[in-house]
Amino acid sequence: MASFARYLRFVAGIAAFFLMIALSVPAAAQQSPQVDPTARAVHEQQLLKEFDRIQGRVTIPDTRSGVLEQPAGRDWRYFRNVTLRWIGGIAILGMLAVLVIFYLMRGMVRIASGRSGRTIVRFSGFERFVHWMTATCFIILAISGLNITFGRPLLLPLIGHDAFSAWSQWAKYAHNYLSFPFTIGVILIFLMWIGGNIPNKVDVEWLKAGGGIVGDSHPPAYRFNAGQKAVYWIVVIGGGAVAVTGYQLMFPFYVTNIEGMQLAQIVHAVVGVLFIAVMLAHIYIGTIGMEGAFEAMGEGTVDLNWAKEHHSLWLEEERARMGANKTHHQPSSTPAE
Amino acid sequence: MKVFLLACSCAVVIALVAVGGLSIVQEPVSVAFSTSAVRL
Repeated sequence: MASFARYLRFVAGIAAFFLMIALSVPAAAQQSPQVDPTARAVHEQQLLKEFDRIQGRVTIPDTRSGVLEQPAGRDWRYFRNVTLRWIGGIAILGMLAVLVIFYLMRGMVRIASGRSGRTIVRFSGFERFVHWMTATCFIILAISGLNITFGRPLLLPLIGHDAFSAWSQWAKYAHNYLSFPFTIGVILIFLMWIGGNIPNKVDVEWLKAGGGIVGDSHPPAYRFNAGQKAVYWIVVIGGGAVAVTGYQLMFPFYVTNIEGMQLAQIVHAVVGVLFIAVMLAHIYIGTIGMEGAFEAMGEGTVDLNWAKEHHSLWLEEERARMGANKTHHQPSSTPAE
Repeated sequence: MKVFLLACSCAVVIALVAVGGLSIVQEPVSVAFSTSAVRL
């Protein structure tokens, strides 16, 4: 009997030994990756892929500061530091190159029949006021906005940290505060000129003829031709887009979260640099690109022959509305401005 | 030229109004991102 009891203890001891080994094998298998730094790094990457943020708890009132990591922020930072600079550089420098080449090939578009010495009112004082308020704000917004994207790599090495810091601070103030008159200007432009900027069949013919810029023809147009209508809608839609996204950034977390603000910054920046490129073309054609064009916004009047060549249908409408003699005589030796 | 100067002046005036408006609407950093126990 005693030998049987010893036999049972021996069997139980063997069973316990194998059971301990059997249980310890998976435990060892689970523990080994935890001490493997490579495996831990892989585990963190999986964690970042599965969650849009890693956050904890903080004791200060701003609970959003508890976000430790937001993986999408890396993509946004890459866009801001690399992709955006390529988009902006290509768009703006590309447009400048095109304009220089075009000017060298085509030169200024002259008034083919010469100046008549008689002018007609093109834009009222209020229209020019709104245009210049929006335009001056846009130029400052563009320069201060480009400083945010290109200032660090281009301007900082030239002027040093102190000057760049002071300049950037004032540029940021200007960018924020002048956005308000710019937005008001865009709204007024939308309301003021919407009537003349609805696309129609005349625009198709104008485009087919190259707008008179390419070639020597002068396709008919009402008050705004297809090119001007394109600029109008770019200003309204683009200006609206940069205003909405800009105010999202000016009032952080009022409307959206960090992902929304990153998206807003991307839209704001891309639309902004494309907007600048388009406005360079607008400035070109309104100044050195076309004789007599600047006078429309400068003094509000244009030469009758300019109006005949570029906006013949509008001139007919104006004459029918006001009478053919409602024009102003000017000495032929001086420009219409 | 008068219209241009008037437009620039008006933009500055609106911007100054915005300065006053934003200073009322937006909280300073010391209020928004800390407690009274924090010295900034």
